Amino acid sequence: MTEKNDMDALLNDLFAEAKDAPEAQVSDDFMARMLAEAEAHQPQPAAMAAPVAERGFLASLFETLGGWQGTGGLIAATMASVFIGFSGAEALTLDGLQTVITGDTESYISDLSGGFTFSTEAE
Amino acid sequence: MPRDTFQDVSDDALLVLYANGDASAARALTLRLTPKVFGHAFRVLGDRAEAEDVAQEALIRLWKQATDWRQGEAKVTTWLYRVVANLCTDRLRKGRGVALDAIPEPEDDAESPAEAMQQKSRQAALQEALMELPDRQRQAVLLRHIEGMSNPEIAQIMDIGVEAVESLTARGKRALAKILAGRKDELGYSDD
Repeated sequence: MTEKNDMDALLNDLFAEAKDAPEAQVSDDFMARMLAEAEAHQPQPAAMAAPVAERGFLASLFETLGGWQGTGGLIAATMASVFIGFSGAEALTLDGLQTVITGDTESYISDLSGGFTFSTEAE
Repeated sequence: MPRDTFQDVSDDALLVLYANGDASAARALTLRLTPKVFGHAFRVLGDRAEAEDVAQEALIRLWKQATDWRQGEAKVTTWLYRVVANLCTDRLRKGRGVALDAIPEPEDDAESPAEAMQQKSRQAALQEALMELPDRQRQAVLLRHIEGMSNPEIAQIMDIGVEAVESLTARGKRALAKILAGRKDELGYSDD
């Protein structure tokens, strides 16, 4: 048992010394080579940056219009226009527009004859 | 030799900095890892030139891996020791054997006078004894008792179970004790 303890102590001492043993130390020359290797293999920041992908016409247009927000607004406005075009076409004819602008086609009840027809004769 | 100026920064974080092109991280990581890798390879192989080759190859693999490294997934040292262990095993399998042959038999007392032994350092005696162990036992003993790693970590490095590590280290230590038992006086230990 004592012999075993002696050997354990001996081995533990040898292991502790081995951590700093000069035989297992790196030479300055080798360390210099390893530093150079590390530098040589290091990725360069420029090479690492993601390459800028060439944008197509649609992508450029999309971005010019203001991305999702701009394009979304444009689509909404287009759809609204189409809806108006189908549902309220009479109100937006040239004549209709003219009435809005000039206001010269106002009609009054007094303009109507007894038969509730428009009178066109001067009184 | 230059000092590590990133003492509080983990290996993981330094490797990420390295991958980002930080030159000082490259320097710090090299200064930190090269002695570990070389020291272990030297003790496993018993030959400085071979150990330098292995250390260089292992570190180059780490540099190439840097941009794909996933932080927190594995310890850099565990990964690196695993590479070193594999490279050393490959070299030992290829029947290198030069250093082994060059080392005198420590138990051959009849042809190994005490004065010759006295000229050898205690560390040389330990290295000789280590080289007598089977390769796997030697690796396990070195990782456990000199590198100070835990059994689960050694299991990862050697790609074996924790129980197998315990068995290898126990047998390895017993074998070392047996080899060195007859040389206690030479090593500065006496029974008195």
